[in-house]
Amino acid sequence: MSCASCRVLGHGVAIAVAIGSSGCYVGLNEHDASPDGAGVGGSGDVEDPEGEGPGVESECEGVPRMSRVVRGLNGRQYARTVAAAFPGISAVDQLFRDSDRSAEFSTHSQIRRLDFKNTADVIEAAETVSAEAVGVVRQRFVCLDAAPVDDACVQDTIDTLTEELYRGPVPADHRQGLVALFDQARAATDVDRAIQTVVQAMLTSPRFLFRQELGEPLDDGTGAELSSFEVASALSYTLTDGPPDAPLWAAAQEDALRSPEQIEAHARRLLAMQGDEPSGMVAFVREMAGLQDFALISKDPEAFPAFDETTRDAVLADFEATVGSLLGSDEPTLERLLLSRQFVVSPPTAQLLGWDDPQQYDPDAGLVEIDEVGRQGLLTHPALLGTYAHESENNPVARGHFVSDTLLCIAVPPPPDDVSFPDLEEVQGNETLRQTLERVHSVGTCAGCHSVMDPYGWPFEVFDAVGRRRDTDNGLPIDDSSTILVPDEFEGPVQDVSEMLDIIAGSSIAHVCVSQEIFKYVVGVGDEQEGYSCITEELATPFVEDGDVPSQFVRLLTSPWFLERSIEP
Amino acid sequence: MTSPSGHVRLINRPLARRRFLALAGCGLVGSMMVRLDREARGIEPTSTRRFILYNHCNGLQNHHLEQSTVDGPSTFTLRSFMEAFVPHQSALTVVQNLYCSTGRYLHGNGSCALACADRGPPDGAAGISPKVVGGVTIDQLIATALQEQDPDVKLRTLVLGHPLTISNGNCVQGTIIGTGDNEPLYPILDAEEAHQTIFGVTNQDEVLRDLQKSYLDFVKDDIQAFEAELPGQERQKMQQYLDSVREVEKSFTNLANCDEIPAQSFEHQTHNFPEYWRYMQDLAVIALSCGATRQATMLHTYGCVHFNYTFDGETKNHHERVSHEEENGPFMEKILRFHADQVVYLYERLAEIPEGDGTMADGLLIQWMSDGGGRHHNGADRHPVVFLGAAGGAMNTGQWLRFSNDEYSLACAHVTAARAMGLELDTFGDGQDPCNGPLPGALA
Repeated sequence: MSCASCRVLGHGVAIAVAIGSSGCYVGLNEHDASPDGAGVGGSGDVEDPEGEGPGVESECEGVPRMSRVVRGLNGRQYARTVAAAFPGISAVDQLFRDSDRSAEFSTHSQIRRLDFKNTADVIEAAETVSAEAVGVVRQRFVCLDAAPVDDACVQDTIDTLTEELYRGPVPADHRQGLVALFDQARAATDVDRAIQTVVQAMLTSPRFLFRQELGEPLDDGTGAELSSFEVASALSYTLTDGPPDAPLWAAAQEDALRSPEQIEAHARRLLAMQGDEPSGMVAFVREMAGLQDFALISKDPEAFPAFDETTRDAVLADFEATVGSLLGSDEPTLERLLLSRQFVVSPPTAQLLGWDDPQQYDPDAGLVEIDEVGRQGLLTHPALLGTYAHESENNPVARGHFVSDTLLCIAVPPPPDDVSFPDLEEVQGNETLRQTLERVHSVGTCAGCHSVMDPYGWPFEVFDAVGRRRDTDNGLPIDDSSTILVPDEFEGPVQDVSEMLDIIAGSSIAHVCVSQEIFKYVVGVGDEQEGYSCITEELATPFVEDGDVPSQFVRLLTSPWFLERSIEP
Repeated sequence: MTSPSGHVRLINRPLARRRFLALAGCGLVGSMMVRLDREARGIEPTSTRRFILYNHCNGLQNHHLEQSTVDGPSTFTLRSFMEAFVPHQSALTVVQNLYCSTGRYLHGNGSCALACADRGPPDGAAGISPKVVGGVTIDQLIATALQEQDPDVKLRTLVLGHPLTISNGNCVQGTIIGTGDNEPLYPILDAEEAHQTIFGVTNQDEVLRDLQKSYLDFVKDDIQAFEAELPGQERQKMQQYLDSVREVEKSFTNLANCDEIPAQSFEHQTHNFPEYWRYMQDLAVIALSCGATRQATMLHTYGCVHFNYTFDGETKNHHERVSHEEENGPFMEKILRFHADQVVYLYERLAEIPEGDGTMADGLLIQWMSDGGGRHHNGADRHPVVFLGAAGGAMNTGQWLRFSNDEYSLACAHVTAARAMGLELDTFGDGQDPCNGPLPGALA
């Protein structure tokens, strides 16, 4: 492996290397700024003349603003929005699936493609929720008990519910349409059915299913900035996965979400008040770690009898609680996420990992120090180790690829067309899995890319397919040393997983790469966005300095990339 | 996760997009461009066309077919798991050795095989493409065309699936069927839901039915009003939603003149559940025979082979225990025999139903294939396809066509099926597996 060409860009962050001999790539994009000049901060012409707009100076001259203006609610957001409007209603988070499961993040703007199946699910979910919501609506709007129901009461009910469910002002004709629907249903049946019908219509409305961020035109006509209501919704769903709370809603109504300072104040408040429910940041880490479908993972029951559904759910809950606790601490840094020996642990997880006296662990007690060799940081959590493993065997390639891809921005191309995948059972002799894979991957077309990504996986071989610590594989001692490359910062041997994690966690490239992931999650677009590399490089600079994950969220939430849109007919 | 770098993809994406659009006549908008030309091709117009795609992951593979003896295109002896086809050999067209370069990727290549369109490179540690599907799949292309021919059908398509019994990170996509570039269509995995989709809400009183209509009318108006507020590039999301609401609304309508079978519920996680699958097959037959749809897709283990089969008291996971350990062994033969029996069952059920001067099997074409292709992890780009049915005389049946490697692509098999269903189509997919017409000798 050789570092054929390195490039250092403007922020002192080394971010692009091409591994010439392998055909694999390391690093970020070339600058891809648009030449048309209708961008953010390009010539200062997008600054709000009164100084209240979000116009933050940017070095990405000419890069166009974000163009997307609607984003579908994901499953969690749907559930929490419904729960906020109809308190006490049964759990609704499994009513329908997120479509397009393979998208990068559930917050991606292209999510919620409402095809037949998903639309049928949405309609069914609306039917289920609305039936149960009738009682809640009656409790909230006692005027509906009158006989006959007063028209003003109906109007008030619909106005209030639509504003809550749609998270902003609602066009008058839409509200009138709902009133007409209510009246029609009431005339044909009764008030309960009328309530159910209009709630069902609200929950099927695109105004509910999609977050709308049309913005308001900037004075110079080059773009639009989000309204206070849109900012409130965007902030809230990003940080809490739910609709705006009362203070945020009040600020939106007062149009007091215009300046970066106002927005940051609410962002910090929301970050500080994270409760038992996983926050948007936790959801981000879970999705960045690729755990979206952890609840579907199964393991070979013969090899791992302790890995049942209860344990699986506990492992994921522990992962989320660990992330939440670390990010809610006074040192919420990426480095700590990757290196901390503190975890939230429940008895099933402890039992799965073979720890002594598993019942002593209490997830409600918060973070506890774990003294196990090599067990440090989220990459050694059983949720991650189990995800990047087969049902019965380890998958060091997948583990190595996750590290190289997500934390080091090393893009490995797909296998060549003529690649042949040998069956492991046929090729493995009296040797460890690592020895087999090293032998197989060292020849032919395999060598190029496997020599890049596999080395990051070898140190994790001290953990099995469910994340238990082990010393042997196939009866032979495990070699957990490796030789790794951290672009522009380190190239050389590491003794074990701890040393490798130390190097990666402290690297600039890991911070740049995670900063990119935060951008994708928060803004809802990926590298298809024009100017992506320039924007993300610029945004990464302070994160490289402080590594503070919540602050990086806030920086992005107060940036024009989040708060402004292009105007397109 | 997608690589943050995106170095290659950012450059390639617009090019791939352009290439896709250039080939759109056989891809994304293919359904809008095809033209039914039964009369022009001299195909018996009174025979109603019906198309079934039967796919099961890592199932039918090239090497499995070697057990039958083939002495010539029309001289062959069916053996082993193919025995169920013996009474219908004259309605059979078997094709081997079709290449599919878009099926080369290790995991979840199924949608490539059914769409002949690249989903883009696999990404993330699990090696899965960020796209679910790369283009319209052959069943959906045909479904749209058949609906254009018969606009009164209730359902454009009926996609019924069998849930996985074991899942892991490679099996998260949930479908391999698509209506366009990264526009996945998910199968119905619940028997009761499938029943209601076909038969509608049969016991709803008139008042509630009217109310439901009013509600859906409101939703449709609302979507259109909302769409008008959006800039151009976002309007397609609303258009898709509107189309879907219309389709769902259609599915609510009660199916008249159809012998309804009772709704049933099943516990999906039970290993090897032939009763569930048989029930879904029966629903498909009824939907096809009652005019609820003209196209059905039976999607067993959607693009993923993590399924536990039980035969003769022995349970094995298809992926771990069969594909990796005994891909050509006796248990695999039992799997194949099971699915061969299902394919023949569908054919025979429709052949029992009179239609015109013949039966509903006359205009039928069943396309049985596997998104696994050649071998698991090896040679997934060599596909066999088994066609059952004469498609109203369009198919040149009683044939076993063994092509040479690299001679014809899988896209040509799809074109063959499309032609048999009356579509004017010469190519299919994104062009990576080129095709200039149907497989030679396959059509009458």
